[in-house]
Amino acid sequence: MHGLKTDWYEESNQIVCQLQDYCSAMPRWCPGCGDHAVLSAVQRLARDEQLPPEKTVVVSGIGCASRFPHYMKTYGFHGLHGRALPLACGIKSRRPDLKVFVVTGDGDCCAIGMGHWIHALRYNFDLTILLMDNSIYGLTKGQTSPTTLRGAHSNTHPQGSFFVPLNPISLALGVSNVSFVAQTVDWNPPHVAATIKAAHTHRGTSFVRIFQRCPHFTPQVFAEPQRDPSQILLMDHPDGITMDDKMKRIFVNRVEHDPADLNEAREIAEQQEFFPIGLFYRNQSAPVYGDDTVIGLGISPTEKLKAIEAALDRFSV
Amino acid sequence: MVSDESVEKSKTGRESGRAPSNRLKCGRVAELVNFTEIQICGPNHVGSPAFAEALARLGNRSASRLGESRSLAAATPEPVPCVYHGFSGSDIPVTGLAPVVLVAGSHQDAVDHCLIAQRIAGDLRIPVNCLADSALQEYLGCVELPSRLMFESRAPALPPEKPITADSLAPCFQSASSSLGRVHRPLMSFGPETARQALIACGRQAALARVLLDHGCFSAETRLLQVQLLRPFPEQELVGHLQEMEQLIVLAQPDDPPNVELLAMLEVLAARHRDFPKLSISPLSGRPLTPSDLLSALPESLVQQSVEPGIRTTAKDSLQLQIGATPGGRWSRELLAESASAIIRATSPTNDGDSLQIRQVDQAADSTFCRLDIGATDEESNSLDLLFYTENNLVDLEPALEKLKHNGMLILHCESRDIAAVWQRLSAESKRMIEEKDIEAWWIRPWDLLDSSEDLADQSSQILSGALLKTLSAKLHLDSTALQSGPLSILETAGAQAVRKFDPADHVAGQSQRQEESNATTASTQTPSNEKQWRQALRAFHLTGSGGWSESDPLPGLPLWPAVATKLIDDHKLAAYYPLMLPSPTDTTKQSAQTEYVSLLEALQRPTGESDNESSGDREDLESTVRNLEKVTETTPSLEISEIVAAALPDTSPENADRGDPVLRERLSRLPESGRLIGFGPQTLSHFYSWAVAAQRTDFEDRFYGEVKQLIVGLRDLLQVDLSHRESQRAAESLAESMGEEASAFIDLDKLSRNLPDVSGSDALSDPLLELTRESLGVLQTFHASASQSVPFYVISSGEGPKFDRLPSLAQFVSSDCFEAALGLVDGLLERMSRVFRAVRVARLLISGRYQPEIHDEVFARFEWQSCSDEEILLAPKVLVVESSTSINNKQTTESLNRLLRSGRPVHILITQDESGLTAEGLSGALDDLAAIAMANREAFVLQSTLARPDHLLLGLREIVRTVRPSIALVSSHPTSQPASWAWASELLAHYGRLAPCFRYSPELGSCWSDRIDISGNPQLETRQAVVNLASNSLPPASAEIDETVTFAHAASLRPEFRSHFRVIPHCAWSDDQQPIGAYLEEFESIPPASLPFIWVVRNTELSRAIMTREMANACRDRHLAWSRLQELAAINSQLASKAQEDVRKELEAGYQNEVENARAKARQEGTLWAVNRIVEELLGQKAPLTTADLYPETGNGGPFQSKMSTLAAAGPPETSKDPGKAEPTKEVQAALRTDPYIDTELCTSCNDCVNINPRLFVYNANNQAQIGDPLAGSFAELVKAAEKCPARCIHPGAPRAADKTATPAMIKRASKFP
Repeated sequence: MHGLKTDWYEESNQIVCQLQDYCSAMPRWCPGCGDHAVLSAVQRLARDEQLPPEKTVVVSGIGCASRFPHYMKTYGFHGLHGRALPLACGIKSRRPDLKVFVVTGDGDCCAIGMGHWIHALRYNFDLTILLMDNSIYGLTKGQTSPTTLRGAHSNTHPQGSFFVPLNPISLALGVSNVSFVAQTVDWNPPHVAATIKAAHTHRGTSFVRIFQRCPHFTPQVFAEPQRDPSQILLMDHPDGITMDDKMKRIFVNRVEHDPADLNEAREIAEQQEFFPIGLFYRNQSAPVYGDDTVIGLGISPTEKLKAIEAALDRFSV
Repeated sequence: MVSDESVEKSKTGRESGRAPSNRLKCGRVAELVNFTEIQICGPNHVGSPAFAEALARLGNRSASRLGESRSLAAATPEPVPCVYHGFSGSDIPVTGLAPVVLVAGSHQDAVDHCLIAQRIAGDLRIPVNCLADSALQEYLGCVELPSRLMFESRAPALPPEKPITADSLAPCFQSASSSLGRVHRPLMSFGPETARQALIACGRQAALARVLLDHGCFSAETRLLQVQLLRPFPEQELVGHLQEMEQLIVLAQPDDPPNVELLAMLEVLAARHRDFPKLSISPLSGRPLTPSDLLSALPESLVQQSVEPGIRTTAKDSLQLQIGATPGGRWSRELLAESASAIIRATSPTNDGDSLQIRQVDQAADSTFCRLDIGATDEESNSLDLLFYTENNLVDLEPALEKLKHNGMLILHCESRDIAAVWQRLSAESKRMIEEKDIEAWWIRPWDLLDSSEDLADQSSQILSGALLKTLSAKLHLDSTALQSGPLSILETAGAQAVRKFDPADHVAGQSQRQEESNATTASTQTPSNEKQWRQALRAFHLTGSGGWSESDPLPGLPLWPAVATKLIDDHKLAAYYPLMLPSPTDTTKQSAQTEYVSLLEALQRPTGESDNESSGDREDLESTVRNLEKVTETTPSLEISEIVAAALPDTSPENADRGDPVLRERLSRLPESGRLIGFGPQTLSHFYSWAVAAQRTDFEDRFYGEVKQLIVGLRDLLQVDLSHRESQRAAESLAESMGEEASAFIDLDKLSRNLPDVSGSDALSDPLLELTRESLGVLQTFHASASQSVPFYVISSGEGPKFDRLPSLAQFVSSDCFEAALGLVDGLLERMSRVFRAVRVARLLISGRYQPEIHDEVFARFEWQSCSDEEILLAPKVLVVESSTSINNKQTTESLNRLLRSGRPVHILITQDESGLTAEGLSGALDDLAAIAMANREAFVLQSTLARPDHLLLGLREIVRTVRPSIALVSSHPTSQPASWAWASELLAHYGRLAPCFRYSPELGSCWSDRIDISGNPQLETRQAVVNLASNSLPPASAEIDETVTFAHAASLRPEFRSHFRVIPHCAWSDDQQPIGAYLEEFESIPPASLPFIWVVRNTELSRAIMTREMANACRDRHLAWSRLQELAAINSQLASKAQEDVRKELEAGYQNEVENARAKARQEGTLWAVNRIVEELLGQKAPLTTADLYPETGNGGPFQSKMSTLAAAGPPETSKDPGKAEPTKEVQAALRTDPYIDTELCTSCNDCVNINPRLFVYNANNQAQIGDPLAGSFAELVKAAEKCPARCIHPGAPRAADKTATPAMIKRASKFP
């Protein structure tokens, strides 16, 4: 009972994953792209939590950010435009033992994938959704996206966009059964990492919107808040995103926001004065659809075949 | 000790040898010879050569025996350095074993010999045998001796070749003598140097002869030689003494082995030394010797005929007195001093002061005796005129009587009324001496006189002096009339009962006298009539426990009901410890331990919807419901809720819903469906334990079983994969089997088999791994299959203690030594479980492909249950030993209990304590404190609890089943002869009265006692006694103002066996000298208070006082002291701690005062010095004029320090150069100011910009975030470019190096944006 632990031989032989074990290729994103920060944060999270690579899946749709699975040395699924979330839900429903990250962009999620997005939030599968919002269709050379600011110039609106941009946070907070909504900025890696970690530990669908700069098409869109952190409002709470005090000091404007308070979360999301970052809302007790889809998981192929036959037999005439 | 073989040899030797010498015929000589022979012939040669010779003369066989010494050596046991105790007439083998034998004559010798023996055994490692007469044997054990085991543990180191002689032992005698203050030598010599005749003896005979010598019974020509060291015989010393002697007389008792040895030794000496004096033997009788026996056995020439034995020539008219008192130390001495001064005071009017003086009031040379000499008596005198003895010390009366003069006086201080019984307790020798010496015997009974207003000791001394004066008045020619107003007045007021003379002749006729005494006792049980009689009767009862007045205590056989019991039950009834409802174990696993049990009343009282407030009617209904249920649970202590509902409601069908008790029906409907009702009874404990085991099931257990199931599947898969690699799988037959019968019609299976490739992918298992896989699979499958039927715990008992009736018979064992049996059983179970855990570990490694034979084979070969985690060990079935404390009464059981507690095995021991030490006869006996024994083992979890506190008990049992240490639960339980409610009340009172304090001792909680012991759960645990106010609806209104301290006596009063210790007294007998037991115990410091303790009892709806005996009060005190010790261990009210705290506080305060004084002195001194300096400076004109503030620094208006500060402030910062041109830093300063480039790594977004510019200058760390790699690998320009490009703006180029040519002014300007 003293000295060397009795099961040392088992532990000494454990597989310990290093950061390199989660890195596959050198990312091909433009230098200075915010995607790098997110990728690095996810890889570090996987290393810190020792997520088994064979039990981790990154699912994406189409877009710059959707190249994400290629750079993670885990399982991945580079899906169709706007269809990342249905794929992820499918994976999770049959393989609840896998850890699933969904990486999507503002076009992928908020435009063509809008319907899937809302229902994925409602189903509340145990997923981590990372919405990389750079306010532009970057992969297809700069078209207006749902979150493009009003007046911003793009290929499709050379005179400036005349649409009022979509607020993904307000929308997410309005969906029934939503359980985790947070926002962060890519240029503050500690906050990105803390936010993604909180999202990872949450059981249920955790939705994280990341303000992200496109160095090519929207280099100036977040230049102001990046230069002047006082434009950012940090939501701080013991139950929220926990961060080093040293890093917190950068943000002069802080508000104590209880993540359980949905109304206040909506108010903060709606205000126009600051860029709010931190945890808007978290509900640990929201029902998780994944809990109800485990029936029949353990049955053998023969039994499955039999069940399919039986289902088909109902259509026989 | 001696092997059969050697005994057999000895027997044959005896048969072949000649008969022993006629002169020394005695029954046991032959046996003695046998054993001693073996000893002297053994390898260590324990006897001296002279002794061997002595034996040869005794048995005439030693020549042949000595010749066979080699063969005998093997059969001889190794002598062990140890002190043996034996006494004459007991077992000779013990006598024969030791090479050193001491023979004691008196009780003092016996005690001293123990110490000498201890020294010899300790210093020289030689076994020593102390012998003494059977009358003295009890003194042999009175000194703590090193145990045999202690000596055996060291190497027995006998001096190899050197024979042990009396001379070699002399240092031990000397050192022991100096420390004892009494001279002991191997051979003691008494009498004049010029003596021509020597008397030699050992043992009792020698001691008796010495007394006679002291009394001048021998002629002046006699010297007595007492042999103390019998073996090795002090030959040289004896020969030295005998050189001038003409005759040597041996006093010997033929049956006594030491005497036989002595004779043999003397015979040897006589043969060896030509000038040895003539030896004559005075044979003595076998019965206990008297002085006259001894004198009659001696030749007339030796005895001084002129002096009658036992009588000294003391002039009777000289008013000289010598008084001896009972052994007993300080009290006796003080008593004698008091009495002597009283005598002097009383006699001074009629006697001159010289004739009666205290010469010595101190311990006499004989340390056990206390004596007082009055008058100028002979210094050497050893005889007494008067002997004062207490009843308790009658055992020692005999030697004291020896000292008493002829016609002397004996005063016995008795506590009991039964003088006949006292007489019976005297030894026959004492009675004979009293008769022979014509001793006048008196007895006094102080408690007949005691007035409670005065101190007991004062009273005793007064009475003693009075008694002395009265008895001595004739002898001292005192004027009795003058004494009447003085010390004798107390005797006059007390009447003649207190001091009486008794004639032994009245008491010899045992039976008839007993009858008389019993008649007298009956007479004394009549109810006293006046206050004084009551006082006397009550005190007599308090002191002796006898005497009664049956009319006032009408039901002497029935137990009492203390008022505090009514109060406690009133208070606790609705807290409702019983009946108790235990919820189903599975429902409670997630609840906190505190709420694990639910009282039935709580469940019943829960408001149902509308009726939130209960009316009084509801409450009555509720109580009647509870009473109904209590009846059921009393008969069957444990029932399922459904069963009890069925018992209470015979028919629950809807059509009969209106029948039966509707209230009961309604109440019962509120009970949860699962669970169990537990009543108070002998079975309760077993249900609690079963419940605790069932509720202990953890998530880990479920996970473990789940994992085992998965591992079985995994191992099967492994075997399946392995099988697919086997050649046999590709054989045609296998193919035919897998493809079906018709396949051969279409396919040539042989050809297919030949062409079928090996399965690609994973490899086949090697043979050892395959074997390992199969073995592990087998173990896991067996475990999995048997998991559902396994027994949760096994019970081992010796038939005592609580019964576990619901268990299958296979899980119960009965064993005489159940602790030993449990050790075996738990080892077996753990061994079985460790095989499973080993298989699990092997399977995990095999399935994950990480099994490396070179590492793991060795590990698993050594795998034992100790390698498993605590959670795993807890999966094994529990082993419970059930025992009653009465069964743990012998050494063997206690030893095996201790062994079990030290074993480190997870075994549970449940011991019911029924306070076996406390019987009515043996109240004063110590309680067997098993908890202390268990705690002394340090590593065991100990729980002491009581059924009266089920919350504490259940919590403790939960802890026990969760611990992997040996754990023991000591549960106080009550004999079952009484109804449950009485038993429960008695248990509760015992708990309140500190008889059964609850505590837990857990070694895991810390390293000191206070951390480990938790005594929470006891009532009023901060105080020494639990106090309860008797105000209650069920008691008379008068009780409202009474605060009763609950003691053991309250619990005892409920039990029939202790009934004789209480007497209920009528109101008329109440007096001020009666005191509640709580106040009595408060006053009880070292001696008991003079008052009579009582408890409040309920009799005929009134409060009465029940007086208790001294024994019972002492038992209460004992329990309170035990509780105080427990409190101290738990760091509550620790006297040591508070004293230490006080000491530290004083020390700190003293230190603080010191420091303040020093500081003041220093300040004063410095201030003076400074003022003098300033005046000097002023006179010399060097400084500004002085101010008053300067001169009086202590006033605070500016002192030396403040003025210094102000000077500094006025001076301002040091002056700097006004010319900026001269402020240019030098090159060195520039170099120091230059900053190295750095990256705020935490902010890096890992965008690769910088590493793309220069991968040596910028590198990623383990977090994939940038940092400066080799600063010399890149230029300043590259740093600046990277900083400009970095989206996180976390690169800071710093100052350029001197040699860096890229550091143009423009570049430096660009870099300044990134400070």
